[in-house]
Amino acid sequence: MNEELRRAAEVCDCTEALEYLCEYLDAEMPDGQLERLRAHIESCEQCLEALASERSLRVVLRRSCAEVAPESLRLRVMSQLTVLRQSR
Amino acid sequence: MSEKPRAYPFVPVYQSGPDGAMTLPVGPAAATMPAPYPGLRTPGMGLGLRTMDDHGEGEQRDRVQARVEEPGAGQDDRGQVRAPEETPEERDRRFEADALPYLDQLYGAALRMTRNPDDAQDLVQETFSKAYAAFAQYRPGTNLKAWLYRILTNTYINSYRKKQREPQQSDADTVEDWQIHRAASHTSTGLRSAEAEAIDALGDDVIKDALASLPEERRLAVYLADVEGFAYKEIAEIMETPIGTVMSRLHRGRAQLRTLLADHARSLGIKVEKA
Repeated sequence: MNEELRRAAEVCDCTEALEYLCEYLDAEMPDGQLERLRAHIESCEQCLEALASERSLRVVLRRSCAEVAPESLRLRVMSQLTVLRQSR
Repeated sequence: MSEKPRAYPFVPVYQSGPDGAMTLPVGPAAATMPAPYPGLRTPGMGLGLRTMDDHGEGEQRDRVQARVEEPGAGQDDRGQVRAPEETPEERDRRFEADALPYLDQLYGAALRMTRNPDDAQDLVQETFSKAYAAFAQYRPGTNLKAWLYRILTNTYINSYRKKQREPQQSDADTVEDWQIHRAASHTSTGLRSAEAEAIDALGDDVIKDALASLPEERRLAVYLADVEGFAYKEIAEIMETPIGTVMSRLHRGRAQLRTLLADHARSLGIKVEKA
């Protein structure tokens, strides 16, 4: 807790911001921490660039991994549900 | 794959569990079972909800039926499940309306897991069967997508991974190790925009191949977080692992993926400037 308070009182620097960049982007940190990082990142060109790059990497991943199930699978699932229903 | 379960792919799972003594909670017992995940770990869940009065074709099913019918034979499930006001027909409609729209997404996840379209399709079909059988235990208002992914992941781990060549990974992603590694592993600059642009210019297949080359647990964690947008806590539940382990897998998986992709971009001669 002391460590936490001490840290909270300090200004966030690039090392810390980059270390926790992913958690920041995921919004997986306590609000206070989030605010501290935000305060630094928004005023730091390098950290902003790193943040934008991480973000774009996720967009690329999402784009690449988007799939449409084959129609045959849809039919298989539907007909299986029909069988299961009738067996009730 | 010698055996391709079709109509009742979940049957072997129950048969492989403890028998006799374990006899399937039906009706009230089933309804009071803790059911964070309805799939595999609690034999019998879901089975009590259906097939009380039919005489099925197929040996396997008959065996299951015999077991299911013992405790509460003759009674059907109407009025015994969590939502007594809902008829099975209404529940069916709700399943089709709410769960089926996740077909494409689940297929995408299954492809990343199995890395093979045939297995991915079988896996998705099995997932929907289990989800359907257990749907009365799903609590409306809770996260249906996470519930379905949990069934998918568990089914994959229990039945598909064994068939695949992927060696079991000892869990190298220990939390302590990761925390030491963590600060040191970051470059002083983070990912530069030139790198991100170069990666963006890579084809989808290159990206998918890079993801596929990650060790399984990291691959799944990265997929669930970055593609599906699950929170760490949800990923921990889906993968049945502590949240610290999720963070470790994510951290390592993302770093590895980023390195792979940047290297690939460089090898194609796409200019990745050094700062």
